Amino acid sequence: MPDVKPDIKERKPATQDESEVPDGKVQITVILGEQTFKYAVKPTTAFKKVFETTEKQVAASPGTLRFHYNGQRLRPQQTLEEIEAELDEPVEFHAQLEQIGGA
Amino acid sequence: MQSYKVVAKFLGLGPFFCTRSFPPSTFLLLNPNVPGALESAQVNPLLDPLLMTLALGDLMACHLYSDLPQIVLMSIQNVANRKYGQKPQPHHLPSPEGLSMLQVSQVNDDAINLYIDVLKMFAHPTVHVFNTFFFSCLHDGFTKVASWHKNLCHPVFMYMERIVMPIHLRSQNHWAVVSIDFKRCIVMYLDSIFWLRNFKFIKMIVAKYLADLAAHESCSFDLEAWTFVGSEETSPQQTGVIDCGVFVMANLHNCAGIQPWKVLHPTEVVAARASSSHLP
Repeated sequence: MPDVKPDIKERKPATQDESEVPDGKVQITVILGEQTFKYAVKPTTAFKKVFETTEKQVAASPGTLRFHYNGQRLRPQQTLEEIEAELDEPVEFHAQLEQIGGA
Repeated sequence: MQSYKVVAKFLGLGPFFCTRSFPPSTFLLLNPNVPGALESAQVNPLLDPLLMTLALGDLMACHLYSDLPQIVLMSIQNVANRKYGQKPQPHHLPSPEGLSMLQVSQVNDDAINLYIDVLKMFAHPTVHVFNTFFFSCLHDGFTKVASWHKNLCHPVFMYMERIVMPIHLRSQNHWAVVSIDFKRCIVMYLDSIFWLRNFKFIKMIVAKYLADLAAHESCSFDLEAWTFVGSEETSPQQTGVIDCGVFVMANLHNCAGIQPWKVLHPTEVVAARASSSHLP
């Protein structure tokens, strides 16, 4: 299971569990198919960093992944504070590839 | 141009928007017939799937695409503020890069979800339209979508009239719609290129979804009481090869229960695309 962060300074060792997330930060799990990525972010950090890091991890072009939280589409400028994430339960973002259809 | 300026002023847009020139379909999209039309589902141009698709395609081709979502968003917010007296949920603004396929006029998730955002402003609270990613998540199991039901009336089987979901079939590059009518216990599958194999697949997933939803809400559920309807009669069949997105938008509109109905003629979309060939 990859354990990556949007900011290299925020990286925590892979052996740490959820209880060891640095003070003032919240652990986010991004689920993309079978893959999961964990980040520790401040409630005021814009998701842009999370999105870009995930896209780099899976070698996806910028803007081609869609991120959701409880069915709500997330925008790069939003933060955990803004979406009023329920921090008493694990915060899971679901990522999906762009959908296109014609025929 | 003058009419656009009036609309821009009506929407409360700044001078930047009031002095730009936009392609004709955008005029149509933004030019309500009467003042205050944006509050009315009867004449709201934002609810027209064909106009919406053509306008997005035009703007893309004219390199003005990034302006449209901003305008649509602002008009949605204006309607929401007036209708509900509250700030609406933030809407996602599609990125021009993400919509590159619109150059060939196929429709992607951003376009359909933007349209769903508009529909939800006019749909009855007991009718819910999920976004395009719901079905993909549901395919991975009900637990992935359990939290998506938080804002619905519970128990869903008792208080919701209808749940509507767009279906994206990635392997076929295709869009379709499923409407679940809880009052009449009918699941309707609307597909502009009906294929029995797809219907059987969708039927299996939706039947399991209903059973899981009932278990999640501790409701009784009897699959035998439900009717699954799907055929070439449930949706107009498209004649163009890239038009399913537009038909899906029209079907979503009707399933959301918004009057008047948007019934597309099979050749209407092809004809509209041909007549909008004014693009550079």
